[in-house]
Amino acid sequence: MTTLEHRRYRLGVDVGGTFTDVVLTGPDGRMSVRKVSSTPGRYDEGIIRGIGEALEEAGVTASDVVEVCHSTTAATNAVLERKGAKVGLITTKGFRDVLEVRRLRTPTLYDLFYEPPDPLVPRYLRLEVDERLDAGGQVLTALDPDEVRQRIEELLAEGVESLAVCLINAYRNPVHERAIREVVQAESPELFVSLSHEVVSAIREYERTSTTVANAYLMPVMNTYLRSLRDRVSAMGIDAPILVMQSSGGMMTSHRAGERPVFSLESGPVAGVSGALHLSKKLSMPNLLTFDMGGTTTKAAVIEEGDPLKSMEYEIGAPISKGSRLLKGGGYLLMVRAVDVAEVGAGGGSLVSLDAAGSFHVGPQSAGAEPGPICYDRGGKEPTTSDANMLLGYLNPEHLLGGSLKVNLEKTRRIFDEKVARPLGLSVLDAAYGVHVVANAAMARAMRSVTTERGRDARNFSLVAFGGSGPCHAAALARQMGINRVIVPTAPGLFSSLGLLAAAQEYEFVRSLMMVTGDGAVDGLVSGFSALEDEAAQVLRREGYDPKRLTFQRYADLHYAAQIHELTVPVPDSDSVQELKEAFGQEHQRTYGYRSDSEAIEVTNIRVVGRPDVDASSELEMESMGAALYDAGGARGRRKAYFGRELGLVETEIITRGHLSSEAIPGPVIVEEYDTTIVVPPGCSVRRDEGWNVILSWGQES
Amino acid sequence: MECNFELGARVLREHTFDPITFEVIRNALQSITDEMMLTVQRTGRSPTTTQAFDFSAALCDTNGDVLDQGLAIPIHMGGIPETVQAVLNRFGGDIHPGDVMILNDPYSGGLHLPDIFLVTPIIVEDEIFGYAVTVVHHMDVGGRAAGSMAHDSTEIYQEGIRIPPMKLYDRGKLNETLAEMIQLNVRTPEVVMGDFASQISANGMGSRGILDLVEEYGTETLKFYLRQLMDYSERITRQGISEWPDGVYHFTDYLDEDGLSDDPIPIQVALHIKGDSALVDFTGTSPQTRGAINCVLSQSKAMAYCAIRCAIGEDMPNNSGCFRPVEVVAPEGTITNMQHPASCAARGVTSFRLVDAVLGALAQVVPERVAAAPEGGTSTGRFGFRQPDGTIRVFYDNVFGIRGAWNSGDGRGGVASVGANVSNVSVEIIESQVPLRLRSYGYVPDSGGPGRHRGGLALAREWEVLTPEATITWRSDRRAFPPYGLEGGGAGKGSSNILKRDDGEELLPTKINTVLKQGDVFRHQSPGGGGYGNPLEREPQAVWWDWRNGKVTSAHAREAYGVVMDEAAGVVDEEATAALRRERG
Repeated sequence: MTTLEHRRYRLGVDVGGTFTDVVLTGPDGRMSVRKVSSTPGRYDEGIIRGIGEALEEAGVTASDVVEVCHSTTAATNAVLERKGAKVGLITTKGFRDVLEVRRLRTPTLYDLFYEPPDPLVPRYLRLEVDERLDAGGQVLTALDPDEVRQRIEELLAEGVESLAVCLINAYRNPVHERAIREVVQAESPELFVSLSHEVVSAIREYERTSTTVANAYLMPVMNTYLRSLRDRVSAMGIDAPILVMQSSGGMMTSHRAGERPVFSLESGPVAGVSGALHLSKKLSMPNLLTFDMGGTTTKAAVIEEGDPLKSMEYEIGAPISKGSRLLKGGGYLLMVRAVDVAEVGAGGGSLVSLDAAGSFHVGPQSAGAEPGPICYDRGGKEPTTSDANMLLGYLNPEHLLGGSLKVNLEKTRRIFDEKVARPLGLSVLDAAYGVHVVANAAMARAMRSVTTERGRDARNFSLVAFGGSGPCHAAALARQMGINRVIVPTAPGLFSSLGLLAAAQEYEFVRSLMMVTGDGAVDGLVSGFSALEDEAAQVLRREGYDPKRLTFQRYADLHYAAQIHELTVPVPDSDSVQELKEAFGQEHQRTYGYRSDSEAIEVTNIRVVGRPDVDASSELEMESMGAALYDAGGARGRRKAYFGRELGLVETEIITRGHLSSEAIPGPVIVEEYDTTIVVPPGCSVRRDEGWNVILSWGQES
Repeated sequence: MECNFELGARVLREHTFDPITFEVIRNALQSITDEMMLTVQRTGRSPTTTQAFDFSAALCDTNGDVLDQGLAIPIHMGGIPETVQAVLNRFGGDIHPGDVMILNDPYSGGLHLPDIFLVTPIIVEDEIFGYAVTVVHHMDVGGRAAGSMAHDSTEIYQEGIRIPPMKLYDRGKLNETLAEMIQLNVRTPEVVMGDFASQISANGMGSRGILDLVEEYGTETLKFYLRQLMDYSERITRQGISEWPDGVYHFTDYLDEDGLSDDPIPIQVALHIKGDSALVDFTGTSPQTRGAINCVLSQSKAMAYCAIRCAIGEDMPNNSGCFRPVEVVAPEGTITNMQHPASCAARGVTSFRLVDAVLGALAQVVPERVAAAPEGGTSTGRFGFRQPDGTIRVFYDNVFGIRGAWNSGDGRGGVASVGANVSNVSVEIIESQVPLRLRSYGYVPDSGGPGRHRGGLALAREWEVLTPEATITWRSDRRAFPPYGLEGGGAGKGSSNILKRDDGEELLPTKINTVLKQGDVFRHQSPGGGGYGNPLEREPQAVWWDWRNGKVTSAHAREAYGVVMDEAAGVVDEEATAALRRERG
């Protein structure tokens, strides 16, 4: 190793809609953090500023940075704001409308006026070619390159910048899609091209088309964004690769991210899960439920036996729902394996409302960052969750964010009384407590949709609470869900950017492989895997990796014959079909409560995940950072906080993380920090572990 | 629903419940039925469960009233209380932990034979708290035609195995006699038994969910709030109806025929609005038919509820409270209240038309709350393939999802019906599983009803048979009586069935039960949605956008909308358009 050894600084940069968080970590466990305003439209402005300030504060030279790990909402926003590229789609004759017809199901019921989002490619830019493969991949009608040429000329004449190609049954044989790319390369090499079998080689034409089109829509945007970011970072003197968070939880090169933007759309939410995964390993707590509560929404995900649970597809751009997974079809579908993050429209800024039939709701409407809750006194006039927390005495009634934000408690109380307490016929405190509880009920739905709905019992998990508002609600939410332990990590408000530094580089490759397990199926499986690994090695060589220093892990998507929905299980090294069936049987039992060993099992896809043997993420030491972040104590205080009718207003000690030790102290206690507040209700106890994590416990800790 | 602190406060003063516990339980309950639904969908075996979502899950109280139903099929909603009642009548005090009751017979609490209900008691300390119920549209229940959906059966006995309320599991033990009887009588025993397993698993999940709530709140408190939730939905419905002008509103819609005769089938509605309640009277509707398109009473009720709920348009908990303010009258012996031994396998086509008919009446009450007619529900069929081992493989497909236009928007082609929020089936999945090849699936230009807002474009789908012989039953409608327009909007284009062979094309009837040969191509074109408002008032730019996207041709733009396209320049000829519209207007 070179002198780099003692100059290994790493940057984590998480760009959200409102804030850009920058975390700088060094070899000595030092950490410097920066929260700056995001700069929509030119996100790199905010990033460069944040990086510059973080480096300056830490006194670190730009050239000592060895890695920049990044997550961004740039791609998601491009979809939401319809600022992607003008895309043309080429598809098989007879199937031009697959993209627009979708899967038909609507996210609302009894709604005569439901309108799905407009397709990302309007019909006049969706053109057909006369070609056809059968379900086995055999060519029925050969592709005519002249026809392709003509279609491409038509699309170019319309000003198309990016081309999506999705042909029926191309998941079985890519020959025609590849031939189309050859024509494009000869005719118009500057045109961006997304081929469906490369983006996601899996069965189901609508899902594959939708995913490929989204990729094409984002490719020019993300390419430009990432190239500009690379240039500007390098102009600062940082000579280091930029890695981008994928929705599946691993990092990829920024070059790959530009080619496969659909793989990084959930990068922000997943970065937080990655941080929790790191904790899970460090604390030897294999089962964690993440609870990421922000201003508008709350996100939940599950880490089970040390792995985040993933889903096969998700939607972007759908209106925020009340958490039901059944209400699908409101957004753009992506058939991309991603950490299963459930989201509900309940957060600190969620509005409190009462409907005409007497039911009381929190969210999904939100006061947003502007005007925000009433208590921030920036023009907010509608009661929110944060206002309730303020009235309950949970949040500091004078100021927030270390004093930088003054609070107007009187105004909050007045409006809350008029708009919530009196209509409900409750005292201000009982009404505020009700808001706290109802917000928890809404958030519990997100928690249930990643646990109970997938056959997992939430009570077997510990909760990791982060995001600005999470630690304020975590203890009460945990109690409601029967969860005994809550962990509030260091820097919970910046946990996502820290999570970026914890994630390993990882590349997933998928092939469709319709195969029924039985005698003789082993060969096909083995040769399928080795072919896929060869292909993966080639791609990764192009991304700058040494194939000899890569490790591949094998997975298969399986279902019982005639089922449609797969479960993904790791493939045992032995290549024994019997073991594979056993692994699937166990997973089916765990998820759905039964297994059916007499039935044949179909393998629909095989997956290979490649990881470099050496990865800087393994160096992350969150433990040593706590000491740098928190001082030993600070002033203690007291105020009254309200914990429901039975307990009433209780004199509560206000402390900082520095006051905590490994000795648990009983609630009520409130731990105030720069960007969050940890509420420990009566009956719950709190302590600090060696890694400066705050641990809350209901009842006896096991 | 809209935030309204003042009204909400009044309600709360009149009812003594804790609004916070109420909201917490409501969330929890909806999570439980979601979980039940997802379990059926993810573990089911048939394409109807795994892909199309043609199933429902609900939790009921001891009377069979629905406490909450998962969000999928309004068509099933009215049937569930009847089913639980039938189970109670049969087994009353003889229900125990580990029991799973089953039934499908429409004359004993079911809807039509393919919909098999499984009912699991939820037992708290030796007492029945309620029931977890799932109903799945099964792939095959025997009878004359593969898929058990033939329109041309004339008696229930021809339609498949009839299961009265029975125990499929008795204290945890499978009723093997019954299971063997069922397996022998259906063409796809593994698929049916697999779907049973998913239903039982979902019922178990629902039962556990309720037991968790009992543990948290206690039986009495939970029951209290469950009643409050029903009252809440009832209040929303009553508030909605009370805003409508009192009166009696009439509407008649028609089914083309029953597939066995050519006679149009009238569906007559008299909708009485009085104060905060409604009465839907189907008197005057056609007598029950020989063809299998008859509905049981609970089916007709469900469709009337569905229409009223659409016009109210508020989000509310999906429980029996929604129905209390609505009374339904359907005379015995009509297609809305069939009597033994009428057949009913293809009754879906009637169900959807009942919704259209009630909405037609509602359009006179609240024109801004109702859309023009949609495609008339799912055109759907079953294919049967004889396998080398003599068994029969059954597959399902459908064409639907075309909406009518409304006061401020076009109808869309690609949105499921309000009657059944089901999904289409992937072309690639079909081709990978059965010997069919899809030739096309897409929009039909000029097929949407013209209007200030255009009806959704019809969808057409073509199947080629790759095996020497395949049976097909296909049911469609709205050919002679296409989807109506509203407020001056035109009707959508009617449906068609076409058989393409080497020697030419043949127009087939709306409802068929036949055999296709290798190389035959069957094409179904759905109806287009109805238009809303005067088509001559449609923005020329909107017509241009449709033209640019190939949804409307130049000829249709001129004829239906009075818009003249300058094809060479690719723009609207504004002068010619203005002149033409003056001349027409």
